[in-house]
Amino acid sequence: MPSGGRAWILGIDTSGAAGGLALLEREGETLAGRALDAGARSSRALMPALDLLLREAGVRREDLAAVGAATGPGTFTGLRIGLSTAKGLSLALGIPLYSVSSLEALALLAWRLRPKGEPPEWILPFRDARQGELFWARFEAPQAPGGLPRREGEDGVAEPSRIALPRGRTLAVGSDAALPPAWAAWVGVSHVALSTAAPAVARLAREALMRREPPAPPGLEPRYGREPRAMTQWGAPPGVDHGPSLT
Amino acid sequence: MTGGQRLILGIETSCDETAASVLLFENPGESPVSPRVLSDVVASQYDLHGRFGGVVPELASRRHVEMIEPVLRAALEDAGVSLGDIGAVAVTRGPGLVIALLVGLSAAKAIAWSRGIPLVGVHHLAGHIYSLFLGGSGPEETSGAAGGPPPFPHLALVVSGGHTDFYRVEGPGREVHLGGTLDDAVGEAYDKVAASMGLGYPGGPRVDELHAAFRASVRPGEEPVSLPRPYLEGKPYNFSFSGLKTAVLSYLRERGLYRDDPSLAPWARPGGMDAGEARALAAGFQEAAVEVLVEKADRAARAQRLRAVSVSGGVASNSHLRDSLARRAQASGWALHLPARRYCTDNAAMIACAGAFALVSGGEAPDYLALDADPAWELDSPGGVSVARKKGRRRG
Repeated sequence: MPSGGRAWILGIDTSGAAGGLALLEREGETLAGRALDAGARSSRALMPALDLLLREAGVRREDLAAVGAATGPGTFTGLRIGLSTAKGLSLALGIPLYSVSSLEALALLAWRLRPKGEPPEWILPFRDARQGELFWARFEAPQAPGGLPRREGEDGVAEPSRIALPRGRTLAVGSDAALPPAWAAWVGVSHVALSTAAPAVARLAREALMRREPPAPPGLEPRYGREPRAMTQWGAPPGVDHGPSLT
Repeated sequence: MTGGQRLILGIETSCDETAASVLLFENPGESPVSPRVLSDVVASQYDLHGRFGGVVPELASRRHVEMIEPVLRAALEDAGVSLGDIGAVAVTRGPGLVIALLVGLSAAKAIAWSRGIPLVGVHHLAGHIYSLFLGGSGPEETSGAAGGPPPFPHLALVVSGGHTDFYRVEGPGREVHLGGTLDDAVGEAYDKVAASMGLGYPGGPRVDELHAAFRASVRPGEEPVSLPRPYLEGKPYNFSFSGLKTAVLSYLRERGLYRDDPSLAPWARPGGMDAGEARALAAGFQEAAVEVLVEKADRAARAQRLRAVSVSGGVASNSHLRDSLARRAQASGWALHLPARRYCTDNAAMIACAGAFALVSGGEAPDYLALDADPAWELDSPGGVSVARKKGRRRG
């Protein structure tokens, strides 16, 4: 396996009920990966898994060209552990960090693992948002097998019955959530369940690197998809939020 | 570890400050000599939590993730060093808010692994205890510092929003827990009293100011509001501040100055107190709280037969506490050691300093990759700052 000259992209996904790491060749299709304990437990598991993944693949830390992190929506604790780790790696290795939408990564992985038969026209990734709601997004399926799904609109959070389902053959991809009963009568849907999309996170980070997209700023935050309860339960708090400052 | 100069990067995210610091220390083989603070960056979250009268964990966690990298970059830049120059990482791994801790710990592990350098997991209270050893010459680094570094053994009293604890500090890695608060920390009582009076967060500085204003304008016959002083006879190393806090709340409720209604926003509960009354109440609370701290410190020093006492933590920046401690130290004949005001509230220089002591005493964590945050970690160990023994879980 080649090991010289920053030849590998690392993908970190701690956003779902199960997590994963993936190592993807910068110019090539060699892929290695490891599953991870999820949520708060990923704090204990993440770095040992990363260390092992690189050693098994014969890749040195200095061979990493970029790191991609799934930044949500997903479980808050997992997102914070994954993103804080990715920021530390990016800073200490001097490599760019790319923030990857968890739903976009799910859509891409579902497309690559799609069931045999007529290809879908739409891909609809969704994830449990608790409180009876789902995080969801909608993507147009690629025209070519090797293409990328094209996003239509922003990530949303809503009850399943209030989500506007696409007309046409749709591949619904759930992570941590079964196909909602409200969607039972939906015609033309096929469903795959994926727990982690780490390989697609690495793939999308590689795309960003190749397209020379600006890396994530140091102050990047996860895509929480929800306001903190403290900011909404009593109405808007008074006083000006001065924002963070350094002393 | 061999001798020579070494740079250590400290990271602290246990509560509501995101902090990073670069510390230079020399290691002749026994204890780190004159640790020098090259940078000390603190991103405080007061703006975020002020209106709620206390730290909101979800808001704190979000801000830590946002600020961790900017704060690390600023600390390296201020010190004029790059990560390649850093010889070790020290990070707070407990106690504190678990998600907040995980942000700093995750970044710290990633940095140590990336650079192939050791990592030390530091107990937050060891940070406060070793803040006394932070040297410096600038006005900010020395303002308020008293007594210099304490000798071993000494009595350490840590007073903050989360802790009110006595330790007998025999040496690095040998901090014996003597006792602490049985309910609220003294800083927590300050914050809750201040919030109930509508003074904002953190409560200490505002209560301190009002008390000073009361003393400056007091007329003959005018007294601070009388409040209980819980000395807990027979428990020389324990405190209880919830009764004092409740007494203030009852005073406010009886006079219709605080509506204890959870359906109301925290900022809508207090109201209607006039300035003179606020001064007398703040004075009454602060005099009670400080008298208890000073009296118990004096008794603990005597019981332990120690002639050196250090007081650290956020509440140690309180003027009335500092003055009262200095008077009592002189009267009782023990030496008082206070950190500079800058190093009383949470910061990463003290974490780096405790980490430096741990490194010297062999306390680095060899298998740090799997190190986890421990929100209820108790510092009381014969084995080193980073490997303190775990006791029963304590919540809240």
